[in-house]
Amino acid sequence: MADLLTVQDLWIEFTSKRGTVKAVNGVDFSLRKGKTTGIVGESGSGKSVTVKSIAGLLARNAKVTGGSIDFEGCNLLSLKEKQIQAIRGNKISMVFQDPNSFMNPTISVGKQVMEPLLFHSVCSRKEAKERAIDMLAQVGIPSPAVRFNEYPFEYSGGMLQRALIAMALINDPTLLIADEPTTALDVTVQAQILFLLKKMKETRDMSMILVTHDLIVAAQICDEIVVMYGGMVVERAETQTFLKRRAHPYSIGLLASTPRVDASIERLKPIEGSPPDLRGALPQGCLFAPRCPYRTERCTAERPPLQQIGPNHQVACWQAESEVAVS
Amino acid sequence: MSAIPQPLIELSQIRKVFRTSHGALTAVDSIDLIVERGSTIGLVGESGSGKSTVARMLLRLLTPTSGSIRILGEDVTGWSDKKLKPVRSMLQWVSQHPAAALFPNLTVGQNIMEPMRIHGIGMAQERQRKARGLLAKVGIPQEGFHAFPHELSGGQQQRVVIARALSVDPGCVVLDEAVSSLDVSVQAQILNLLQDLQEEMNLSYLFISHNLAVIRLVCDEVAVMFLGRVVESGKTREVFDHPLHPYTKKLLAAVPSFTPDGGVTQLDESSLLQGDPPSPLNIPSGCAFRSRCPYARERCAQERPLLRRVGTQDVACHFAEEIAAE
Repeated sequence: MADLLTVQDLWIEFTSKRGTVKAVNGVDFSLRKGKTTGIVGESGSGKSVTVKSIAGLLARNAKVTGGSIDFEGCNLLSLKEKQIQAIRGNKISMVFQDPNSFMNPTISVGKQVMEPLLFHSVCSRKEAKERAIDMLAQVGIPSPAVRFNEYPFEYSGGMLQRALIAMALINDPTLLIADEPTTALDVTVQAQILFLLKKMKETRDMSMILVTHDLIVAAQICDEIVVMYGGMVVERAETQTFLKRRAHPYSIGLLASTPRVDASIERLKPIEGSPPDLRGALPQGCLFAPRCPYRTERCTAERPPLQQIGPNHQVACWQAESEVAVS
Repeated sequence: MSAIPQPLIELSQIRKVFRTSHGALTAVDSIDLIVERGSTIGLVGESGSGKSTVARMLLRLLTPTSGSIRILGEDVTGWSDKKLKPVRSMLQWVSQHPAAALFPNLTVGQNIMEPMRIHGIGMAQERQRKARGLLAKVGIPQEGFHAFPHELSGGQQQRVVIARALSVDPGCVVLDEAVSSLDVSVQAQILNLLQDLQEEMNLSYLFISHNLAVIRLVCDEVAVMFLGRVVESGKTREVFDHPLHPYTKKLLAAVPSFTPDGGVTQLDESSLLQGDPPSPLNIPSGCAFRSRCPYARERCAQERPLLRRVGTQDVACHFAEEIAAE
């Protein structure tokens, strides 16, 4: 199937008083039409910065220093702000982590949900209201005509996240980017929202990128998993392949560090050390090498490229030369 | 000391009602909880279930509306702050946000020594020696002693908060979402540290978390809370492997997890809890969970189920036997 989005060798840095931070360092991935890709990583791995650059939402002190983002045949990075605005909230839309800080507290939820229709001059105000109410119903908000007029503080966290999803979907985007959409929510509400996202993706002609720190959540709803570390993609595989044959020591360590609800274990096996400091020049070798139990001399001398080790399975590690089962 | 060993902390029938502009809000209702020496008890539940209110009453930061709190057998419920001071060093607290818990204008060392100073423990030199020892124990290099909190990462800050809590040799540490804001790899390091410290110092933990997997890992016993009440409690393994309350079942089903064949659980619409929990300002009659419960019948609206022993755990559901037989 054709790729909807191709990110190639993307580099992004931030300038701050304390020097340059190399947030994204040569990221490559693509998203097939109608599929869901999960970008997984910890704080500072560059996952959010990567997807923000797709939506043209980078902070002012961020600079793209290389690479390209192809979306439906055009390089998003070469577009002017006006052109990006025509795409954002239209063909590409985003859902964020904290619905409370995303919504304007002084405007009713319904008005905010219909905003993308008016901004992109899709229809009249009257029709926009009807469509917004219909959209609120689709995302599972009871008595949508009444709740249309309510303000964000009158919504619970889960309901507000549903409204945010309604806002993101109202223009029928071809790409939905969900950046930690369930992190601020309780586990039962998280399950509801994930189910809603999955259902919405399946019933529309839409592809999705899910950014999350939770590997199991990603595995639950994504077709493909991209693991990021230190602003780089360290492993990329189809979900089933990833679950059975994950090969990067970081991916393996991450799962071994995750407490499990389905089994009694005595003790976790954490990844020792702390994430890399991305200020200043990057080390020559693999960024994970200082924490890696499999490190060799080559790892600190030379950075491993993302290499194919099996069908639809790429890993950036000198030690992972072919697929080996981890379980 | 009496011949029968006293539990470290015993909460009986505690209840907390807050007055709000929308009326009385019962945050915690008739909860019994016993913290034994050297063990970990977990409180789990969604936002607004009253977990943190229980912890705050245990620490006597809040006074219960009714019920009693005993520490080593002594009823401290009505004690004044002054009388409580010596007791407070026995109970320490580690919260979710280490950056907010540390004094930003004090160095790491000063932060760790502050509780000893307040409780008049040791001379300046001894305090420093002890603080340095604790710093090593929580895995921070000695150079960190003179650093300021903002110079440390979140995981390191949480290590300092733990060292500070341990400076007054507490019997019990309340860990209120203590690892929730940390990344997975750092969270694992802190959880292991907490397990080591418990073993070494015979500490008791009251571990509060919305993360069921973390609760399963660290707790010997667990109490599941829903709208201010405990709906199920018992040995962690029993409660997780054979939940008897419909709410516990739904809660566990909502957590994405692995399956024995190496896959992950599928999102299944039938296992989802629908809608939002009822407002604590307007708790339904009878069983508070009945509005979302697949087993709910008429009896549930009329009669509030009390916590009772069913098999290996305590459960507050009229139909627990039926669920157990499934």
